[in-house]
Amino acid sequence: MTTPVSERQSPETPVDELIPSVDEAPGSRPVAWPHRHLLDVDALTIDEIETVMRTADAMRQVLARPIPKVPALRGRSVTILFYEASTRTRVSFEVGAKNLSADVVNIAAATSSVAKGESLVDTVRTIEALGADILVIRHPVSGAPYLAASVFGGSVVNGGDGWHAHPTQALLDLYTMRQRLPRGSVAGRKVVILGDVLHSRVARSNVWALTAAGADVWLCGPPTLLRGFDAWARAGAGGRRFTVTSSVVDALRDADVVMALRIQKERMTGGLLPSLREYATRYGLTRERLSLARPDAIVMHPGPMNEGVEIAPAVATGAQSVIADQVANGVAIRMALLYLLAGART
Amino acid sequence: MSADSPAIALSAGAVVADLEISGAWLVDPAIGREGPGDVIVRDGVVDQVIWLDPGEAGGARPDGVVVAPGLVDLHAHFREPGNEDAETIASGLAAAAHGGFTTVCLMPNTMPPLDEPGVVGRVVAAAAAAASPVGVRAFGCVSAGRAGEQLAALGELADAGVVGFSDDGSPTRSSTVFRSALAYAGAMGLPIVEHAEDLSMTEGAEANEGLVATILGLRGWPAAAEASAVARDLAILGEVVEDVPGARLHLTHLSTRPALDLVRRAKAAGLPVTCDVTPHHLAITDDWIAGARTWAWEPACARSAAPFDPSLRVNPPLRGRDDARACLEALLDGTVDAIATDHAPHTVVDKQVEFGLAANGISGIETALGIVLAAVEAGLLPLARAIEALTAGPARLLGDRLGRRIGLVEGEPADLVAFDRGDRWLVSDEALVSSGRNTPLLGRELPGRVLMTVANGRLAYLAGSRPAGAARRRRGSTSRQPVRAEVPPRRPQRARASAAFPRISAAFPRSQNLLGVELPPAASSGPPASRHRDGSTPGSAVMQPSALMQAWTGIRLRRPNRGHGCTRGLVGRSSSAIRPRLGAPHARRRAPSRA
Repeated sequence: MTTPVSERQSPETPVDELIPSVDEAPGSRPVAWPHRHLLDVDALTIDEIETVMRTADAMRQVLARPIPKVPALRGRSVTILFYEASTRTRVSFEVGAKNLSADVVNIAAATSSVAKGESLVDTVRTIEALGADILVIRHPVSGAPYLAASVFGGSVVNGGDGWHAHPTQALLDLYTMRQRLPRGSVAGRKVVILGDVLHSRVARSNVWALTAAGADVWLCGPPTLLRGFDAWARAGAGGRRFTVTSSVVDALRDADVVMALRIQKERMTGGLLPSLREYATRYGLTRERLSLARPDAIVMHPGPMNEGVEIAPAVATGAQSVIADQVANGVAIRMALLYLLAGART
Repeated sequence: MSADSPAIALSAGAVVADLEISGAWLVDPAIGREGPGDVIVRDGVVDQVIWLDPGEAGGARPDGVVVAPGLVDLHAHFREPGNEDAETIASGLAAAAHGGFTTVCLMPNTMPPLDEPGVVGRVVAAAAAAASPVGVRAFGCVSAGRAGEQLAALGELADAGVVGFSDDGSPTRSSTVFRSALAYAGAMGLPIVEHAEDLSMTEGAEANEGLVATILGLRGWPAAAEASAVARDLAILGEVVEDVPGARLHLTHLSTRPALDLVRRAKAAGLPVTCDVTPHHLAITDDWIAGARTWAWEPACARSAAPFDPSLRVNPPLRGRDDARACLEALLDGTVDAIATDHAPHTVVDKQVEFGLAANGISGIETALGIVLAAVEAGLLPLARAIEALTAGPARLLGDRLGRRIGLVEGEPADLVAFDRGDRWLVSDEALVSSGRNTPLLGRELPGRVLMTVANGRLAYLAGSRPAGAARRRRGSTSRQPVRAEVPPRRPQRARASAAFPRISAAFPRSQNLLGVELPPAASSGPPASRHRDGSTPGSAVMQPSALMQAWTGIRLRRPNRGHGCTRGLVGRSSSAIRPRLGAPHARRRAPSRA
């Protein structure tokens, strides 16, 4: 249980012997997936994270085919309900579900009865009545997927809730790191998450996933955007420690992975930062700052980026950037999770 | 109705003509005394309070049936006028009686708010229509429309009978208005009740700023926002009291150690400040939002519930363990004067939503006593102090405007609660009377089932019964009619009616048609004279004592001229079988203290 993910299986290992053929319907062969929902990363054991990674490997093989489509979720209905704007998460869930032959319904809150004041509970009950098996939800309020899960008869996947969690992002980030780091392992690697940690569900979910995988996690940003995290670091995440600092030099020195987080303009109203310009000057991921990290360090960003603020354009598109890989891996990870949840035995 | 199925019906609001509670544990904070004893009520008035020597206790124990003065709640929200779906004054009063409260002070943040005397009149009228014996007092607003910009009609509100002023739900926004209100109300001898919150620090806040909020990604409500507001309030009070010696400040629902420390120092310096804490801030911590379900004083253990339960959203938010501990310490050392429920009922529509969108508040007037008794049970709080903080403590703030004397006082209208600390009750949709089911305690057992609440000489609540006017089930309602009690067994189970349990016998005037059975004409002569203080007539709500209640408390329904007319089959035994049991102790000991 405590062995880091990366030491158990490298991504290049043939997966057919580990995972039943994805051409089969889920549940037709035993897949040890005990969770009905995917609401947070902290609910996953290291072995379960490993299962997701291996399943994603299988999905990447599917995606490499000339026709990247398998019938695994044929007849299953996936509803994607987003209360927030999104490009990559929503589209990758949709593409992933369609690759698995699921029927996909897309609901944007702005164009649904939500705009008429329908409550989340009523919306979810309606979606269930319309036959959805899996509900992917994004919501601006932390914890909303738990409310959805309490009334939905099928499986709920958290596509990002408030500041709380973005489990599929954390899993695809871990997957991407394993893909790109030497020996396919994050264990002992210094992973820096730089930026607006306070408001970031990506940071929170990555803390859980990366510490589980044995990474040396550093959270860095202005002190106003780290409030409370030092106490969390002292308390640990499931007993695992991480480091919090507002010194960008300390954080970046000899880093193996640098993940910049989006600075949202609306955060500037709360008296948390003097200005975006000052943030870019003091905390933006520039070439100079990146040179503090190891020469082979990789650069990540969950998107969408404010280029020139938290990340310099040259860094975002530079040789060390794996941002495009993150997006591509997002499809494989989401296919893996949909597949596992569809075959879940709870 | 056939004689074979004698339904039992008591009128809520009926004058308690004849009530004898013997062998209970009496707690009277007015004289600082607790111990075994008997209480006898005749025609709504406390006839005798008999304190027994410990040797005579006959099984009365402080962890058994306790009789205390009726509880006083300084802080309740009954949503009338404006949001009667969440709670009406009638349903709130029924809930209060179920919780053991005989006086409730209503906060003025209704729609419209109580910022002018006309709205007070509406509240008074609704309370009168509810026909509950539970006393209703109201706070008026500090500022017009609770906007914090201009004083409300403080003088006219005082004339209309308010017991103080509060913009509760929010602090008095303008410090200048707050200063003026302290002086203006102080000259009338009325307190300002302040909700201490620095709004500029808590905008959009969802939970206590701390580890739980950090991990769950909830917007934090920092402890400093309460302390800084308290500091402002105390600084202004210190100045005002120089000019207006009558100025008084009461800080309600304090929840953090820094704020309580400030109050402790201010009291030591002689400032006229008082404060209260809620049961939930004493006992429930923010880790419940992450799924924990252990009391604040119990060891932390693994999550047992789903996180983000919206019933846990409350303002001020549930705090960490150290703050809960600080609330308890402040209660023990006298910094905290009262326990107030902050009963805040909400509809499912407002509460079964995303955590951060849920209305703030916990429906707590029925669980307050149970939570406090859980702390008593854990050995953290002496029973006498707990009762004091629920009765004499809040009564001191209200002064004459309470309208009754706290205590088990002979010659005064009976105002008391009897509860059984040894009897746990399940907080459930069925058990709750309030329209607000928004409590995180659903499904949990609490100690101290309330057996009987008597307010102002009249029956407010009797265990095993449900006032007909109480809130109906939202779902799965089986009946709109009062459910008739089962016929009690002719020979009731006596397992719990041993000497260890007190005997309570009660009788109500025949004139009020208290019994659901037709009595022979001979038995209906001579309605008793009511010595009820306000001369009000009893309400028509129907209550049904359960067979269990009768079986083990020995409650009997009799006509006042006891000796005949006892309802055949009600408790399965004749009154004569009981009289010697009741009478014998009376003969042995005498000289009740006439306080």
